[in-house]
This record gives sequence, structure tokens and C-alpha cells, in this order.
Amino acid sequence: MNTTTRTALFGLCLAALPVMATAQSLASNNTRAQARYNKEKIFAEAQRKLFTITSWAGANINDLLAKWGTYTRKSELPNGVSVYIFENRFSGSGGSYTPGYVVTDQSGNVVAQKQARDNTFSYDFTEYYEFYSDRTRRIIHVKTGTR
Amino acid sequence: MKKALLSIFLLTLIKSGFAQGSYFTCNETGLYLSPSMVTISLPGQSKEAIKQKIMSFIRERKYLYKPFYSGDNQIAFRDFVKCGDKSDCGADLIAKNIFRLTYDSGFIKIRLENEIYSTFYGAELLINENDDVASRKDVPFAPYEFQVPEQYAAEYPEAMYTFNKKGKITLKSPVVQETLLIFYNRYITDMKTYLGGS
Repeated sequence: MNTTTRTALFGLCLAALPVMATAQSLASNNTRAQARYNKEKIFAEAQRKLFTITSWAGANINDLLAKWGTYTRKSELPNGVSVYIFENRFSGSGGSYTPGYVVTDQSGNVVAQKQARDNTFSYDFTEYYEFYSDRTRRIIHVKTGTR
Repeated sequence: MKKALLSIFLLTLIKSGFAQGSYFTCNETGLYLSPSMVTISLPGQSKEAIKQKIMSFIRERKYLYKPFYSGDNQIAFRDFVKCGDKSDCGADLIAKNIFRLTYDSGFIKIRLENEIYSTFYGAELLINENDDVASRKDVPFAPYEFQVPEQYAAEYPEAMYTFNKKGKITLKSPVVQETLLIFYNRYITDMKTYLGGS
């Protein structure tokens, strides 16, 4: 490569620098804007799920029971409010355990070994929906979550 | 330059205007009653009379009475309303405010639970009787961010503060702060005026 070509290439690279910087900046701006959009989209969808269930507030508890069936348990509060509780328990386990090993020669020197690998897991939680109804059987509050 | 001068002017205005008269604190952590409970004195008024006044206040202002949070000594109501406009704040801001008024003969104590939502993408928000919020057609929205990392300042034009990697916090939008303080202070002054307290 002769000197003229080298100089031309160097000049071209220099000229391209601002363009590259702008492109990079635009890309990261777009990424940040996309990050905000995605975060708020996920939030809106999660809120929709909650909203759908808790929109039973204001309805008659008999309508809910007709649709949801038998509740898990019921309790009465001192102020005359009844709480109908629906629960779903989820539990299980999975994964695998691979034992490790150590191979030694006759002199006791370690010639091969492998660590045990434990990928086992277990879970146990209860999803609950609590519907509070007043003396007129109107649902006045809904609580949901896991415990 | 003009923007910077305007910001300084607004900041001074906020500090001078609300330093003594504001019932709320608004900073990078949120907006809250300061102290956490405001008391309105109503000397000579019976508990029953106060209850009736609060209930008619709720009806007249078209707030929503919340029976679940109300009891013998407490009345709760909710307001769900726009508290900041896109033209000033960068996004429409929607407030969900639940006021709990504890009362007895001669006084009312006010507490507030609030959440502000930002609708940067133009979401139309809905609220149900359980006070849960969703958007029509699930258009993205989120709880208002009082502070964002400084590199996100452009993506969150409505954010009040920015912070950098060193943890330095800077007031980015005094206009939003002023808007929210004026909006929330109005609740308390309105209640005081209506109930005839001090």
C-alpha cells in the first residue's frame, strides 16, 4: 500500500468518525426508548390481569360464587363483612443430582475427579383471592396475591 | 440560558411560595403529606355534624366514598384525576388519591395514600371499584418516576429529578414539582374552606 492510498484511507476513517458516533448515539437512544416502552407494556398487561379479577368489586357475591364455584374457606369480620377465600396451591420439585467422583491410582494420587452437580429445586406456594362482601352481599374489596 | 433562568425562577418561587404554606413535601422519593397527618380544628362541632359535613363534601366534589376503609371514626374517599398536563409536564400525569379522614368532636385528621401514573404513550386510564388501574387497549403506562438516571432524561421528559453514577441528584423539572404541589395543596385548602376549619 503506497503512501497516497494510506493517507486517503486514514482521511476516510477520520471523516466517518462523526457519522459512526451519531449512529451509535441514535442506536442507544432507540434502545433506551424501547426499554421504556417494553417496561410500561409489561406493566400495563400485568395491571390488566389484576384489573379483570378485582373488577368483581361492586358485584353481588352470589354472581361470583355462581361463576367461580365453591370457595376454599370463609371467615366473618367483626364489622359484619364476610370474606370468601379461594386458594390454589402449587407445589412440586424437579431438576437432577449428578454425583461427583474421584479416581486415584494405587499410590493415592488423584488422576481424575468431577464435582457433584445439584440442579434440584422445589416450590410450594398458594395463590389466593379474597372477596370481602358486606351485609347486602355486595363485594366491597378484593385482595389477591401469593403466600 | 432562558430555560436555566426559568428553572431558577420557578425553584425560587416554589421555595418561597411553599416553604411555609405547603402541606406536602415533593422530592426525588415521592410526594407526601408533611407531617404525615394534617389536622383541621373544628372547635365546637360535634362528631355527627363533622361526619355529615364530610359526607356532603364527598358528594359535592364527586369523590368516591370508600366503605371498605371507612368505620366508626374514619371516612375514606377516592379521587382519580389528571394532576399534570402533557404540555407542561412532558406527559399527562394521573393521580389516584385515597384520603382517610379520622374524626371526632372538634377535629379531623387527614392522611393520604397516593399513586401517580404517567401516560407518556397517551394511555387512557381506567379505575375499578377496587382502586386498581388499567389502560384502555393495554396501552403502556406506569407509575410516575420521580427520578431517573441522567442518561434517561430524554426518554422520561416528565421525570422530576435525575441522578448520575456518583449518586448526585439534580432537579430536572421544577415545573412538574410546582404543578404537583399546587394540585395537592388545593385538596387541603379546599377541605379546610368547605368544613370551616383552621
